[in-house]
Amino acid sequence: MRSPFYIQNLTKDMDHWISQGWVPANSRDHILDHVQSQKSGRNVGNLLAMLGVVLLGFAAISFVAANWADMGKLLRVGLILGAMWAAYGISAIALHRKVSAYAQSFGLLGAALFGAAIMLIAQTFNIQAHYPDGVLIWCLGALATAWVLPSRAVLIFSALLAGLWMQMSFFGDIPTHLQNWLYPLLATIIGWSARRMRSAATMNILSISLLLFIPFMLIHYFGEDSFETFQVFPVIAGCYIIVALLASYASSRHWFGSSVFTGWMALGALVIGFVQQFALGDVDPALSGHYNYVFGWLSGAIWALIAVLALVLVRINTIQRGLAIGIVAGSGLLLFSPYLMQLIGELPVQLIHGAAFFALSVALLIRGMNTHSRSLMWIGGVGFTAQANYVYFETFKDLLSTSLFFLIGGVLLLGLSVLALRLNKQLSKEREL
Amino acid sequence: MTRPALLLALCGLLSSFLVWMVLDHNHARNSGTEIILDMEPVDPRSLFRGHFVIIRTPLHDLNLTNLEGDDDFEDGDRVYVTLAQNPNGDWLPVSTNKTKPDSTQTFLQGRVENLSVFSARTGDEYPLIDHRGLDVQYKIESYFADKASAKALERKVREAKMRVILSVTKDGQAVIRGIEINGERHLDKL
Repeated sequence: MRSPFYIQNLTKDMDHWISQGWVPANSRDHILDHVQSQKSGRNVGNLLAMLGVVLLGFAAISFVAANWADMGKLLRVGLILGAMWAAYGISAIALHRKVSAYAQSFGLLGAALFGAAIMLIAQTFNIQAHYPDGVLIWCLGALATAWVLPSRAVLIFSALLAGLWMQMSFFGDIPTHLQNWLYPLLATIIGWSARRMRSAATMNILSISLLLFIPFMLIHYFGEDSFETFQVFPVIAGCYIIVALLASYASSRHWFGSSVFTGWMALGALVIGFVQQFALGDVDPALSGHYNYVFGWLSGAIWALIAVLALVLVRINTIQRGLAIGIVAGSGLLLFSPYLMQLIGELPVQLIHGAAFFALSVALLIRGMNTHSRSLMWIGGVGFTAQANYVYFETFKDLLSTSLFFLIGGVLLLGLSVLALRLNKQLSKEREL
Repeated sequence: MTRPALLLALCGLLSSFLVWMVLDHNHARNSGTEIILDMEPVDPRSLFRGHFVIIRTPLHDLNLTNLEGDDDFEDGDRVYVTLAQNPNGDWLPVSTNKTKPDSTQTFLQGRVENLSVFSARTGDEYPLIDHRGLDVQYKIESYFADKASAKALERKVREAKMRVILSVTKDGQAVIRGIEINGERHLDKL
């Protein structure tokens, strides 16, 4: 059977093609049934070839590790280069004979050996360039291999290396600034390649890397000790919402994988919305100073950008007006809650924030039911349960005895689980109908 | 060009890079000015890159109060550390600069890893005064060896019998040329 992601995308595309009159409406179900019934025999072959190559790689590494110390330096270099040439050579022969599974598997092995060669040569000759640079060059080599083959597996590998390099650059011994501009460029090239090769896994890796890049960048720019958590959390969430809105636009234009970005960024913003409730407890009512001023203005600029984007997306019929109002109001609350707290006090802001999070979770649950999206239902359900727990702990932790506290908590959770099961059953029934 | 040919060309390009790594390092090791530095004892560590001895020399922890030149450094800044030999032939730091010194001087190029301020006496005199310290990396911080050799080398360092021999290029880049154990030189070769 084809992957659910492929079927989901095909369904979306199909509806678009039907609306354009390119595909007859009565062919829709036939095509989807045909695709869903397709066996994945070729994928099993690919998987076995990949596993075989991984085992070969381990065999080579364990042999070299056992005999490494006894080898001369030039022999070591020759062995590393020989192994790399063998992998690329077999890949080229397989490519020539159009055996894609072997071409991709040995291409992946060649790309992996290139990185191992960089590290081993550096070790053998005591070459000590800035350590993350080796990973960057490895990533570029893997990306070029992915392009030449072309291979989704090698592209996924290069996306992982790009993320690893970005993380190492931000938190290495010596601070660098290269990643500030080079990582977005590299991620764009990998993303564009993923779009061409239709690699959903690569898009997921890039989305998760972007979720990390945004806070890393803010911490790197402002300095780790220069701001409070409650100040930076909303700014990070605001950036996520901006990316999610841009990705929604791309999604409406049927850009492959853009919905993956929307989903991950929205989830990131939701998680921060929840976590911010804990951070708000640390707000100093007499908060002042340079960074309060900077983050206040930054929050304002981000909110204005979110509002403009939401307005544009409503005008071009990409999102509904109600959703746009919800996004603008919710992000405004998130961005300004630390400053609002200084004006009207902690309790009212905590209550408004909590109520908004509850409302958002319920809205996601309902949206998930209406669109038959299990992922939205899960996110909404988990958000609702987490918020219920938070409110329960905050309200009763000091008022009830320990046993009663856990008893009521357990009953509440069981009640929520019954509700979730009922919703799930209802969704299944609707699907059957 | 067909895809298989392109793939082999790419493999050739990647191999060229690896060969360049070896040759460039070999050239730097053989052509630079030689300086020899005492090593401070630090435990060997085992990471992904294998066993190695961590190299710490007097150039790694600089006390800016005792040195001439610039002292307004920040983390990550490039620093040029000018060296001079004392009458015993030991190489010691004399100044730190943000800009490259003239080529008649022997200097090392490094990056500031950490800045510190610490209180200490000057000689036997009181009171304590604030000193600015600079933790610098020169890309010579590890000497790779197999596990047994790394432990043996570590013992030598503890017994203060081992020194590191560096080759320094005209732009201040340092590479390890070898080590000196009990006055006996062990130079790295291809």
